Amino acid sequence: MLLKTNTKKLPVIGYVEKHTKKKMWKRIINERELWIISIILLVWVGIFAYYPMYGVIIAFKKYIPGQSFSQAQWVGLKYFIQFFNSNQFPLVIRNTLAISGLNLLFGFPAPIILALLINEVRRKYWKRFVQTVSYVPHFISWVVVASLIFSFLGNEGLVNTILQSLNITTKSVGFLNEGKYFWGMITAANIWKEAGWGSIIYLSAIAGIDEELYQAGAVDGLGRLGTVWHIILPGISGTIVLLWILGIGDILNAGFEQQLLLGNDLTRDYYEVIDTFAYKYGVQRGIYSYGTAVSLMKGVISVSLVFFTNWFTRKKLDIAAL
Amino acid sequence: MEVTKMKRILTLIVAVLLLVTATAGCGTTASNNQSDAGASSAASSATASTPANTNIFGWAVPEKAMEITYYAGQDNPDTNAENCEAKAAYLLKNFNVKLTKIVYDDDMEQRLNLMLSSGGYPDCIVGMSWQEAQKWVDQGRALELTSYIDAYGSNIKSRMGDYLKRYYTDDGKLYTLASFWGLTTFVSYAPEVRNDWYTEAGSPDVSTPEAYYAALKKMAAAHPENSSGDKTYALGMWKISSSRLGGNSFINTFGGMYGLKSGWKVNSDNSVNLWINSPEGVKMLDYLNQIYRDGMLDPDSFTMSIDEWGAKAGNERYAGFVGSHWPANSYSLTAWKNKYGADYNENMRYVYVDVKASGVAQSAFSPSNSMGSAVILTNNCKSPENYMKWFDFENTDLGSKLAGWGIPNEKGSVWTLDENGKWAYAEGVEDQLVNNIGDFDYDAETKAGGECGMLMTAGVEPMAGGGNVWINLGLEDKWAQAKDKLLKDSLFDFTSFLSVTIPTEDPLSDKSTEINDIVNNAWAKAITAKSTEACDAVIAEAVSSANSAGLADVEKYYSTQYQKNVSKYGK
Repeated sequence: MLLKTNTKKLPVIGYVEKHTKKKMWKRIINERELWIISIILLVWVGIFAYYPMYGVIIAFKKYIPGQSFSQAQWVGLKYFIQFFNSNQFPLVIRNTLAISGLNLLFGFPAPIILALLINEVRRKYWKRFVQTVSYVPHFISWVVVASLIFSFLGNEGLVNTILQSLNITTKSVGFLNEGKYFWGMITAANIWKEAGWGSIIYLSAIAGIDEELYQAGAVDGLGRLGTVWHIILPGISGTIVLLWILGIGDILNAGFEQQLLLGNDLTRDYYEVIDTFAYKYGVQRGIYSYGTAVSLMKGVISVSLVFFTNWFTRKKLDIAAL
Repeated sequence: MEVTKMKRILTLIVAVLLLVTATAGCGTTASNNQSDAGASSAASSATASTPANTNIFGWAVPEKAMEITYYAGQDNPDTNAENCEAKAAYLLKNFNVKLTKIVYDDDMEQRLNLMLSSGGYPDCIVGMSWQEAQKWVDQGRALELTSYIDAYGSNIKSRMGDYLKRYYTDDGKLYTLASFWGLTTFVSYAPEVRNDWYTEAGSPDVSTPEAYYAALKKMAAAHPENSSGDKTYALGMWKISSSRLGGNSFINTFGGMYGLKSGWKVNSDNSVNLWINSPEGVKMLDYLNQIYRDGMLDPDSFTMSIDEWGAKAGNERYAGFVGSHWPANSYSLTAWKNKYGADYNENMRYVYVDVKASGVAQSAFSPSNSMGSAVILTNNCKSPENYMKWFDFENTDLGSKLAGWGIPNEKGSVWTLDENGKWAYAEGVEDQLVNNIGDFDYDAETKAGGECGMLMTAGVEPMAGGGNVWINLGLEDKWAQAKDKLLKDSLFDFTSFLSVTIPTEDPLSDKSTEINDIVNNAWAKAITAKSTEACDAVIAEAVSSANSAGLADVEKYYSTQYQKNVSKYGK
C-alpha cells in the first residue's frame, strides 16, 4: 500500500529516468574496455563525419572560395535546378543508373554465389586458399587494376592478341575505345575486385546456421542443391536483405575512380556519372556550391531509398535492418 | 575469479595501449604533401646577421636574413626538395636570403581554391592562371604593388618596358606581375618526321598535309615493324585533356596546318570561331580520319598516357609526330642511342617540317602569350618590399642566370662567375649543347638549382647579356636552329586572345566547360569514325550540341574580348 501510494506521489518519469541513467553509467563502467577502444573512433567520426555536415549549407549559397559561409549569398535551390536543367543531366543519370544497376544485378548475387560455392568445398586447406585468393583483389587499388585492364584489353593487349592469333578477329577490338563495352567492362572489374571480399559476410552467416537443420535436411532426403535452396538461403536471408537494403541506398554510387582511370574522350558518353560530374564542377573548377548541391541531392535520394526499402521489406518480408 | 580478473586487467591494458598508440601521431606539424625546400637544418642554423654589402651579383646583402616563401604549383615535393637544396643553401650563404619553394602534388587550381577557403597560403604565389589571379584580386587577397615597384623595381621597369603597362588595371592599379613573360622566340610546336627514314625515302615533299601523310606512309611502309615485330604507324598521340576551350596541343598543331590559331579560326574582323565550327576544323578531322582508317594512326592514341606513347616512340613505332617540340626526341634519342650503340648516327632523330594546307597563307603552330603567368603577393605577406627587391634582382642579367641556370662555380654548374662579375659557360657546356659533343647533364643543372627560385623570372625572350633563362634555348644545336629558321613564321603573337578568360562565376564558364567536353568527345569520335560520312555526321552532331550548349554566346564573348585586347595591345 505504502509502495503504491509512494509510487503515485513519486514523479514516475523522473524516477525511471534517474534509474535508467544509473543503469547506463553502471553499464558503461562494466564495459569500460570497449569504451576506451571505441572512444577514439567515436571522436574521429564526430570530427570528420558529423561536424563537417554543416558545410552542406553551401549547396544553397553562392559560395566563392575565400569567403566565409555566412558571407556567401543565399541562392536557394539554384544549383539543384541548374543540375536538373543541364544538358548533361540525362546522360549523367542514365550512366549512373546503368552502371549501378548492372552492379546490383550481377554484382550483388556474385558474392552470394561465391560464398555458396566456397561453402561446398570440402577440403579445409583448399577452401582457405580459394577464399584468401578470392579477396586479394579487394586490396589492389584501382590505379593498378586500370593498368591491368589496359594490359589485357588494350588494342595490343593480351585479349586482342589471343583473339587475333586464333583468327577469331582480324582487327583489334576496341574494348577501351568503344563506349558499348564500358559498362560491361567496369561491372566485370567491380565483380572481380569485390566478390571475394563480399563473400566473407555471407560465409559468416552460413557458418551461423544451426547444424541440426542440415541433419534434418539430410533425413528428409535433401541433396546439396536442396540444402542450399531450403536451408542455407533461408538461413542467410536476413543478411541478404540487409545488404540489399544498403545496396539500394548505393544505387546512385556508380563509382568515381574507375571512371576517371578507365574513361577517355571516346567513352565519355558512357562513363560520366554523378560523382565525376560533381568532381569536375565542384573540385576541378572550384564551384564548390554546385558540386555540393549535386552530391547532397545524391545523398538525400540514397538515404530515402534506404529507409523506403527498409519499410518495404519490413512490410512484405517482415525483415528490417533499421 | 582470479582468471577473470587477470583477463579484465589484460583487456584494460590492451585498450589503453590502443588509445595511446592511436593518438601518438597527433600533434606534429609535418605536412605530408608540402615540401619546404630550403628550410633545412643547414639553412636554419645559418641565419647570422651579415653587415650590408654588395655581392658579385650586385645584390645588396641584407643584415637580417630575408625570407622568400612562395607556392609554385604542382610538382613532386621530394624531387623539389632535392633540386632546391643546394640553391637554398647558396642563397642563404651568399645573399642572406632564405628561399622556400612550396609545391604540392595536386592540381594547382584545386589547391589554390583550398588555400582561399582555409586562408592558409604563403606570401607569394607564382605561375597562376590569370583567371585564378583575378579571383584573388577580387577578394582583396592580392596586394597592390604600385608603390613597391616604384621604390624597388627599376630593373623590372627597364626590362619589361611597355609590357609592364599590360598588368595595370584600368584605374591604374597593379596587383599582378608575371613569370615567363615576353614573346617566345623559339618554335614550340611543329610537325616532325624521323630523319633517317625520311632521307631513306628520298626526302619527299611534305609541304601539304596530304604530302606529309604520303611521306609518313612511305616511311612506315619501308619499316612496317620494329625489331620486336610490333607494327609501325605514321603517327600516334596520347590521352590529353585541356580545360581551356580551344584545344589540346594536337588539335592546335594539326589545326595550325589549316591556319587555325590555338584551335580557333580568326576572321578578318577579329571575330573568332571554335575549330569544330569552322570548315578548316572539318578538313582537319577528315584528314585524321583518313589516316586512322588506313590503319596508320595508333589506335591507342586516345587511351594511352604520354609515358606509354614515349615507350612506343622509343621502340621505333612512329614515322612522325605532330605536337610539342620536345617529347619525340626526349623519349627517343636516349633509347635509340642505347639500342644502336656504335651504329647510332645523328640522323636517327625527329626533325621539324613546315606543313600547310593549300590556300593557307601561313601555318600557325606556335602561339606566344607575352603575358606569361601571374605572380601575386598575398595579403599574408608582411614584407612586400623584400619580394619586390628579389623580383627586381631576377630581372638583372646575373639574377636571371642565377634563377634559370642555377648556382655558378660548383661541381655540376653550367656557368661560372668570377669575382669581377664576369660570367661564362662552364667548360664543355657549349660543345654539349651546340655541337652535341657528349651529353649535357640536365640532372646536374637541375640539382644546381636551375628552375628553383624563378619567381618573377625575366621573360622568355633572350637576355640582354646573352643566353636565355633556359640554358639550352640560348645554346641551340643545329637541329633547333634549323627548326627555328624554317618555322619562324609559324610563331605568332596571340597575347590578345590567350589572355582572354571567363570568370568562374560567369554562367558562360559552365557553358564553356560543357562545350569543351562535347568537342573533345567529337575530336576522338570523328577521327575514329568508320567513314568520311560518319566522321562528318559526328562533327555535325557535335556542332549542334555545342550550339545548344551556348557556343554562339561563348564565341561572341571571346570575339568581343579579343577585339578589345587587340585595340589595347596593338595586335
